[in-house]
Amino acid sequence: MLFLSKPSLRFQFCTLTLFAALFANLQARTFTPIRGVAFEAELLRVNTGYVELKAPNGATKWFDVKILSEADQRYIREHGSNLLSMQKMPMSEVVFNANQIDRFIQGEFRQHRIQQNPPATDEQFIRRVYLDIIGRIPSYGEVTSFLSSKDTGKRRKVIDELLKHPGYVSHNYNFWADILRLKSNHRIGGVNAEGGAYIEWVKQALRENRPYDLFVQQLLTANGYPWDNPAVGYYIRDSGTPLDNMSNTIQVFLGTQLVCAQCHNHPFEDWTQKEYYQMAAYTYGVETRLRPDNLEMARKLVRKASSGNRERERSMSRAIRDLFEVITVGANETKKPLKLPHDYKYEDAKPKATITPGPLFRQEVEFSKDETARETYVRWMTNPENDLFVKVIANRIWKKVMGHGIFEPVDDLKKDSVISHPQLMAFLMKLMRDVDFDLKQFERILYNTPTYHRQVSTVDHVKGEPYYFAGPLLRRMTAEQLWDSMLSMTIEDSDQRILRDREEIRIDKKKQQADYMLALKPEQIVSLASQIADIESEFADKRMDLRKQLAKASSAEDDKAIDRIEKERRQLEGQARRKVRAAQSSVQKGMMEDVAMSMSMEERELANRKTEVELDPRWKGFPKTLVRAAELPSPAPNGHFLRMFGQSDRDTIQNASVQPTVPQALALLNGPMFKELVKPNSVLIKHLLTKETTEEKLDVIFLTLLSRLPSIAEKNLMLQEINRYDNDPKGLSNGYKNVIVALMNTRQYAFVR
Amino acid sequence: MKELLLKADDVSRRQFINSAAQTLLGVTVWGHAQGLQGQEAPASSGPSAKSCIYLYMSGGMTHLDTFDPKPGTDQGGPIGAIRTKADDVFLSEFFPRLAYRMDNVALVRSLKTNQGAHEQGNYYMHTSYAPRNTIRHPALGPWMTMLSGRYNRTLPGSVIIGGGRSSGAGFFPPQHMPLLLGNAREGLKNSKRPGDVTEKEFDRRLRLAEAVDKEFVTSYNQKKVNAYSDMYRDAVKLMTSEDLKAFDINQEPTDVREAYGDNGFGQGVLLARRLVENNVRFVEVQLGGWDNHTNIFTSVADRGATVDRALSALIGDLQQRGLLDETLIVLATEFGRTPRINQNEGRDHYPRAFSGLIAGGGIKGGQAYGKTDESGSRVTENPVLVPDFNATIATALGLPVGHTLYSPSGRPFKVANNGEPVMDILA
Repeated sequence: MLFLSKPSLRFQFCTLTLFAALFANLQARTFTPIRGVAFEAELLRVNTGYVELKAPNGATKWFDVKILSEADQRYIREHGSNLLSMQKMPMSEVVFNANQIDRFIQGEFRQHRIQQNPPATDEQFIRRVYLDIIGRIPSYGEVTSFLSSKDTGKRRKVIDELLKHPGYVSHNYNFWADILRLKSNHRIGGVNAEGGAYIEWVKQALRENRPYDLFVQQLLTANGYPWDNPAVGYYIRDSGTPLDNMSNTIQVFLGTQLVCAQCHNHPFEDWTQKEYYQMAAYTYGVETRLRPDNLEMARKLVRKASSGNRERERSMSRAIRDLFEVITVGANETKKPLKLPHDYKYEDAKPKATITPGPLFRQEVEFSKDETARETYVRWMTNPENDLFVKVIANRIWKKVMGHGIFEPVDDLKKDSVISHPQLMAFLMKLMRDVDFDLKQFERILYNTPTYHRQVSTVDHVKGEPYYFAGPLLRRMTAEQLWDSMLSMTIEDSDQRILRDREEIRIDKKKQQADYMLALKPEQIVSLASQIADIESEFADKRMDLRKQLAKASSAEDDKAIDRIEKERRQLEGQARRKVRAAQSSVQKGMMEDVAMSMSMEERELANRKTEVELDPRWKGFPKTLVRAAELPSPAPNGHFLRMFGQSDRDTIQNASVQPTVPQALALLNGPMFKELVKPNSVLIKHLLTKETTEEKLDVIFLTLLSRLPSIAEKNLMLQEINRYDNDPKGLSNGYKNVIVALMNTRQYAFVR
Repeated sequence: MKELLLKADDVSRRQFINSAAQTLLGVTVWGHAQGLQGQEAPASSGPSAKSCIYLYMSGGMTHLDTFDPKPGTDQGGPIGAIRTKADDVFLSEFFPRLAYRMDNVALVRSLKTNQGAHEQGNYYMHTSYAPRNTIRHPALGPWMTMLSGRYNRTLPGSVIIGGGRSSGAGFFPPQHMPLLLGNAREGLKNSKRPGDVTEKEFDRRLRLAEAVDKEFVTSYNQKKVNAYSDMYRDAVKLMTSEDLKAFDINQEPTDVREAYGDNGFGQGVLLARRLVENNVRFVEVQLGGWDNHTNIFTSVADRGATVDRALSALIGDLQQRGLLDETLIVLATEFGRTPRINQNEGRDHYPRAFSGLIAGGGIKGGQAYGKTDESGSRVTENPVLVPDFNATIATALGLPVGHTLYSPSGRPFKVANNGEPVMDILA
């Protein structure tokens, strides 16, 4: 292989072999879905349970393996393992690509008078790479084994190990939760939107390392109820605001902000309102407040039966909504037409005109009878030929690794956006296509660049200006990294501490309930609803009376009377609610005796049963709430450490903050979090107690918190502090606690270099 | 001067702005700000309020079911209206107490915005600018402290109670960042040294941290690193100050606490009063749950009662303490809700007309400014755009609305983005 010493030749050879491998498998074959017509296609990619097939006309599409015949599935199993995405990129190729990246970066240095940063020390590197890949600081054992290793390839090895580590899922979940605004307790109009199931789906996709284009395709084409397809959470998240959902989609996946054009021609970029609507028309038909036929018929019957009695009609509608809310939340693609607003003011169309799907980003689109509008849209978007789609994800991952994008902001591309390294950008796009959107593989190349192995820049970077990557950027740990790091010093094997998933059981029951409800006849629904409405009407008169009293008390300016009447009102509403709820559960019991009863019983049992997390001896004595950020509700409750340190509220895209605030300082100085850290059964303290001398103990503290040994000066300072106190045979003297808390309050601890 | 500034090349322009910013940074004087050119910035004509209590209804508060009722119409739904102390001004039935305090209150029924989504609408109402991804704009609190300083050196200049969104200090220096308090009843968490740590130990911990950090801070002389140091300094100052008691609502007698309502919002408003008494200039209290696309009437009954009670208690309390004239009270939201009641018995987003409220110092109370049509769909008289609303608030607080401040990147901004204050609302 001597003649391959030249990099360019080596690369071409690699490409050739890869193409050859591809070619060897790319033979058209007839696939037979279980339901539907057989078709010709070539097998392109396989990823746990999904296959990508290529039609003779070149169009590609992912399919769920389960819809194909047994013979097809066998073929896929036999041939799938040879395909590109399952092939690990050999290290030599990773290094080649990584060096190529650096060449592009160096290419800009001279023009902008940049000096590359010196190489990062082992101590700096190990701390940063753990935080960047698995979201926490390395443990004492992890640091010492790395620092003491004489293996010249140890950095590359540690990168590969971390990419396979369960912490990778946890850390990347936080990243995507911020982008997709995942919410555990999402409710729409009071109805549980099953955010937990959606979150679990995202985590599973990360565990399987699902290719990004497939991930996006599944999100955007999701249909059905959350228990059938949790990815419908994507549309449910923006329920009621389908135009905003479209804006969010374009912002997240195509890095472009069109939202201004929703109401008028965009003031700065040249998007017109009509173009906006033409794009929104592709997904506008996706409804998230579902109206199953039997409910619709029931409502019609109610309207007829109420014959003008508004109160009764409202009451009945409410009852139907409340009793059957489970089957009203999901995603369903309809042919609902999108109309321009009534005050549309431009010449190119009339107000309230129906808008049909049109050009996407000014590109003409080919429609096909075999596809819905939405599917056409998604096929265009996730096509590897779509430069924008590829550019945006490549830049997002680049920024994740290096701390700054090649263009910024990552999701607001404009006509005048500055691309600091055009050649590098083009190369990264090519890489993203070459790895078939395997984000982990892509990241792996980036972590192996010489740039990443340099020190972070010491000089402040001015926001809004391009960055030339003399090294990565200095960053404060995110809220999740701070929390997860503290956790790892407190609890052993914190990466394995996954809260038991009760989602599956709960969601199963929901499905049973839903199936039952969908099978009911409209007349049955109406009769059930009227049982509830009858109860409400009992309270109508009393309500009217209280209102009159309130108005009188107000004109009399009688504070005390108002207090009393409002209290009575609240009690009345409480009574009404309780009575209605009792009626509802007896109705439900009547409907589905076993399901309703056993569901609440099972739920109660689950709530009382001790979880694995609580039973495991490793974790005895630690509260259930001490788990990694990814296991906590998203977002964490108001006032939680995570929110205080800037975790995104998951209300708007990527709005996490790393700004310092006074409550943060107060929490680090006086907060209760250290109670757990300095307990005798914490990981840190257990390590300390295995060491005999004070010096050894200090080494453990510094290596754990800062991934390095103390300097002589630091050692002396700390010894002074520790020697103020008598030795505590049972645990640690206050001197050590003071040292630990002091180090937790340094900038060195919180910033990642 | 402005032309010279614009003609100057980047470097000298930046230097000029930096030095101007530095002089402004040091401003802690009471009263009006000095202009960039050294002239007196224009002030409002009448006496101005010292502080502002800003009640933010997050989610888009319905206007028909609160301050602009249309009883007996299709759009009005089942909600009735009640008379108030102000002639010909009616409130929805959910505001019985506010009704007889209307003499201190100016309703604004003709608000209009061009933002129909929560994030953008919330941001626009708080900052008078539409959100851009290239800069964060400051909200009213940071503008107040930037333009005319803090009155209390240890307490933060502005506080936000109850969670919700905040653009922080925007592009102003980090010391203008509002303090975020999740929960009024918990007060300022972690503000006391833990029981098992002596004062000396506490000091030694700080000094150890500083010593270890010396090398790091010298090598990485960056804004974000230095801001961290400022944060610690402010925190420690706060811990040892007498003013800390202001955060503890348990110091209030039970009847006062009950008057505000035993809920997060009510107690938050009470805390706001305490903070304002201690010269905190701007306190925002957020109340969510107004985004009623479903079941709006039960929701508003509940939320309305909460607000009615807390707001009335606040007005009465401030009046009793003689503080009403120097405190401006504002109630705002991002947009209104559709006059048409949807099929889920809710209302959807509606930017074309909505209501707000201004009360207290510097305000001509007893009026409902602006009108909408019979269905609450269109503004028919005296439209007030969001920047105008904010300009009115700013003027009542004595802030110069014509005054330009520059961001670090040299972009000019004003406190209300060129909004025009509504003179009929100001006393």
